[in-house]
Amino acid sequence: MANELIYIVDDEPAILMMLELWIGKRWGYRVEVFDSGKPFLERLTEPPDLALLDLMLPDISGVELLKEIKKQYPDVPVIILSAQGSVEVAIETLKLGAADYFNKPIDWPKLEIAIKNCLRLASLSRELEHLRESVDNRLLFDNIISQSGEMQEVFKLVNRIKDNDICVLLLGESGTGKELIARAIHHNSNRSSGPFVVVNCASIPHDLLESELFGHEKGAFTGAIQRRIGKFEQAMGGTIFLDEIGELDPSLQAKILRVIQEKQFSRVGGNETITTNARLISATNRNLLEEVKNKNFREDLYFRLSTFPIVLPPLRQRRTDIVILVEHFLSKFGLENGKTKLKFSRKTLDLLYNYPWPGNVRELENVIQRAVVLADSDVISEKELPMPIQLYSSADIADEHHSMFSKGDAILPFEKIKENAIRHALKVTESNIAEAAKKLKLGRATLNRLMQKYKIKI
Amino acid sequence: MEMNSRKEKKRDEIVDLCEPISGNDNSFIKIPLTKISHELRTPLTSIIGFAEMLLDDPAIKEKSQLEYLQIIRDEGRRLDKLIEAIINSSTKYEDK
Repeated sequence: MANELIYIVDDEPAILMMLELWIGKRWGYRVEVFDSGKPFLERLTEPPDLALLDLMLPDISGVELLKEIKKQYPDVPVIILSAQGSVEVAIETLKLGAADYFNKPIDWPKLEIAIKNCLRLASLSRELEHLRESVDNRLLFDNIISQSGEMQEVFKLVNRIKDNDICVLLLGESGTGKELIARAIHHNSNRSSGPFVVVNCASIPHDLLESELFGHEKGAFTGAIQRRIGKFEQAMGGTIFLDEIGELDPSLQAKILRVIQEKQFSRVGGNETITTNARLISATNRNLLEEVKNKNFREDLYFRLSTFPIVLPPLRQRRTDIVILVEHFLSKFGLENGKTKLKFSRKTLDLLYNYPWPGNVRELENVIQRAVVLADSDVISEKELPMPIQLYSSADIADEHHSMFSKGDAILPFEKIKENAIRHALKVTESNIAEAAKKLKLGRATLNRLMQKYKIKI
Repeated sequence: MEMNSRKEKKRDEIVDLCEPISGNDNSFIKIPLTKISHELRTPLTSIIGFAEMLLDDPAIKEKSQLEYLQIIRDEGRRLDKLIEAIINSSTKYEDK
């Protein structure tokens, strides 16, 4: 039974009754009938799936009604029924967007086919629109696989600022996809035809970074045998992405500030002032505000860079994504390695799901790649996972927390609890003392002293 | 559906249509052919439509059958009157 809603307007009571009987009772559509234009227009607040209009109506002509529907709902198909029999009128209504035109007396089998076709076409065009939207979304966030609400919020933010030249600061742990988001911003912006230039401020030695960013003139320093164009110049008309911006030393921070404020810079050893129109996106996994407080990062630059901050949530905060990412990487690496039938065992999946993933998506990707390479049967067991993941389980963690403060009913000495807290912090941060100190809210020196005291070696 | 009011309304429309014809000499040519077509085809649409409905579905309830047949008869009469009016006025026109 068809469930589409059809509005019928005809001032002839007998014809209206007949249309209602044929279309509603016989063909099973939901039908609402109107004997004049006005009540029909009032009802238009809720659009039908199709409208059948008579042309000669006592109050408003069918042509006017047709115009009004097309104005409000261009996608609602309209079929015109008329007893006028004039070709000119038929052509006029078709020009105005009517889907079909029928002369009275009505050829019922033809009308039935026309209604079916119109509804099918409308539903196909809706489907097409829907698909187009989803394709657009896919293009927009190509390579970013996520269904979690947190990441959808990020996508929404990206959508909002993509065409704006506002400075974006991407914040998030290592491996959360900061560069992918920067790329998504660029590729979906009105600068997408321009270049996307990436500079990892941490991977280039400090003394070379300036020339890398701004370029240099011939003879600017030993080894500068020819003029070199810097990344800011390369990024003209496009986007420059400064990753690990927290690693910039103070002199470069000042220069970047000048580029943002005045859109100008000079090559190293050069006098010429170059104007740039590159859009700046920066990223860091450091707490820049903390760096500002510690005087390691210029406050004015921080405020300039963070006009629009976007925080990327770590993988452990969006565990639903682990499942789809595991599937995605499994099929990706399975295809690359000719192992398309691979599956994870239940236990392996549990381990992957519960692991805290300090290295986020990048770590997950590497773990799956490794597991695919190591797998010698169709089912990947936990043995193919790296040791730390194999040994990790949420039950262990719960026990650990429990034993950190007490053993059964016996109460642990306070010193022992402090020692346990430090050992736990070092384990979670993979022996990163700076990170562990930060998480324990201790100074690094204090942590070192306590580690010596408790004879903790890493 | 109020069949009586429908009949009254349609009778008026026929008179409306014929008035210009019985008016001055030039008025006949001013009646658009589309209007005549509309007036003739409107009752025809109901006649053919309800007849087809009756032929198409033998299981229609007796009460409905009767209602449809009455509509066919009424619309047939309406058509007859209309044709008569047109013929009368065109005869008048030819006489003049």
